[in-house]
Amino acid sequence: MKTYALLFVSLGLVACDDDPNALLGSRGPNAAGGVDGTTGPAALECTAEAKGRSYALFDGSKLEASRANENFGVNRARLKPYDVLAGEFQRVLGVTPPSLAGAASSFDAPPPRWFAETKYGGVAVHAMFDISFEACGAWTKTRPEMATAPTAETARAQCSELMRKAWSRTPAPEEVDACVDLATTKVSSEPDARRRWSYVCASVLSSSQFLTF
Amino acid sequence: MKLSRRQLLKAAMATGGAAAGARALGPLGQALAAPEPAHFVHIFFNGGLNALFAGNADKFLTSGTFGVSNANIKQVGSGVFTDATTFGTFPQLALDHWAAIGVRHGNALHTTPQNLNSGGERAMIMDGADCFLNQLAFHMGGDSAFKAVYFGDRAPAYREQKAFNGVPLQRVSDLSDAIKALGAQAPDADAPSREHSAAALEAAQAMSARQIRTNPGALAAFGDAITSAVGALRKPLPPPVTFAEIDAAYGLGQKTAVDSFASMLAGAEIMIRAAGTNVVNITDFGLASWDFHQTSGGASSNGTFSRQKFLGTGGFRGNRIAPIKTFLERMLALQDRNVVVCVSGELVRLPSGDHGNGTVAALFGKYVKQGVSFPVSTGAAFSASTPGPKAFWAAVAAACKVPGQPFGANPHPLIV
Repeated sequence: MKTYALLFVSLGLVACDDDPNALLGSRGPNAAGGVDGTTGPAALECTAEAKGRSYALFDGSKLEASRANENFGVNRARLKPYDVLAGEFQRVLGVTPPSLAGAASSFDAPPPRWFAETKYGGVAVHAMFDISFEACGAWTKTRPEMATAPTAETARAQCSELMRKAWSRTPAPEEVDACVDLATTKVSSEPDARRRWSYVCASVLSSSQFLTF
Repeated sequence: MKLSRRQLLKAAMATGGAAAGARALGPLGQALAAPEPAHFVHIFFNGGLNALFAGNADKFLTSGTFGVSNANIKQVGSGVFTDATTFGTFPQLALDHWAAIGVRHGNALHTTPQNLNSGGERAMIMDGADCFLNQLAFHMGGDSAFKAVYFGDRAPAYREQKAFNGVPLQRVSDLSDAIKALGAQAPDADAPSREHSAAALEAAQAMSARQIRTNPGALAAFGDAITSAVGALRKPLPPPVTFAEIDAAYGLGQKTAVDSFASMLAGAEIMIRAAGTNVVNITDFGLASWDFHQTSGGASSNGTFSRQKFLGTGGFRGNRIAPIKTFLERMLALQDRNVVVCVSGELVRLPSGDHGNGTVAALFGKYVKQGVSFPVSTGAAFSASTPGPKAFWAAVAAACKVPGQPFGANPHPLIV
């Protein structure tokens, strides 16, 4: 059995052996441009020629011709289905927004025992933001530190903490910067501190990192 | 002074009116009228639309094919004949501007999840790897945040169509959500402000940028979706369109989910009026759900089954003709807008009940002339000279007054 396992590992190595970090899913700061599992765009395609047996089809084409030759750890994100969103809000904020319960049609939830890959259009993104804002409104009321408007310091701390929890990974500096900029500049005309924090929170929960596995 | 929403809308309309009244001056000082916004709505019956409905009913009269007789067809005019109790009841404006256009794509199969790369639906909807729907939306121009949308239980041609020159084709699955996203109805008092929501979603987009780049398979469309949501939030509020008004018109029973044929037509109206959407695709629910092969005594019963399904009788649920009539009445009569509507399937039916290798599309619009172009024969066959799908889209583009000829010359001489 160990022999077979080693064989599979070896096959994986030769499939794309330019990047030794690839097999590790590019996790860790030293991977090819990656931060916590997110690689840079340059690593999207495997530059090494795929190796393995070729199979000819009846029409003369090759079975493997349309097979994606992608690197490890990229292009694997999948959007979370509607059914898990209540649990996800509970996990991150400790609250479940009441409007989520009646929002199956917003996210085109498939009927019970059926599967459909989740997809978002612009209307669904807007609905997700509104639901997140509702959840975040309830959440900010439980946080005494959110009774005062964000500063650069508090925004950086709160953004980092929330992003880490919501995304299950450490955010990249530029991702935190976008959150801080929103909190301190772009919604600064909002007079109610808790509503201002709610925009920040809803922004994090409307990002792809929260909405994907 | 605090302005009410009504006052704000009035002010916006007054500003718009002043701008329209001023009109830009051309190079020689002539007044240049602003182009009339155009919208194209494709109502698609997957599995096959019998040509007797689409305008060629007379071809089946002599032999009584599909049960056609003098008693059940209507002479619309200029060679257009249709089924009396279904399409024959469309509003007069639609009847007067009905072109029956033959399309010979040469593929008598259904496009299905198991036959993605072939079949009539793919032939009608896709142009190589691109999609005619968002191609048309791109060429129509304008600044809608939702240039091309679709309704139905799956994407056209059973695949998520990729964006064309930055124009995605997006699904809308809930009417209330659409109205809220577009700002067409007064929001709840504690709803987030549109300005701050836009800023927050832009930040979400910035946070997501890296992951979207490295996961284009699942997230390219998500990136497009955020762009559309932000775009809609940044736009001035549209003229009011309330769910109550739409519900009353289409009889939705207060259900906001897009899960009925009527709700799809209602959604098309919302997107046209509130978003200025260029192209809307409505595909009826179910897999090849208009594929009626049944025969009786050796004769095809396709006409009977189709008629029953249109009217919601004979065991079929939901009248499809009523919401189409409502939509045509309301949309073709819109002032200062050019709404073009097409009703088609991917295949006509043969007298045996089997599939033809093309379709007849019923095209309606203010710049569409009543008549027939490349009809089927008495055997529901197309002549070898019948143009293909690209020529059909050329006719649609001409009816929508799209500048240039993005799909080539239009061979169907039925556009004013």
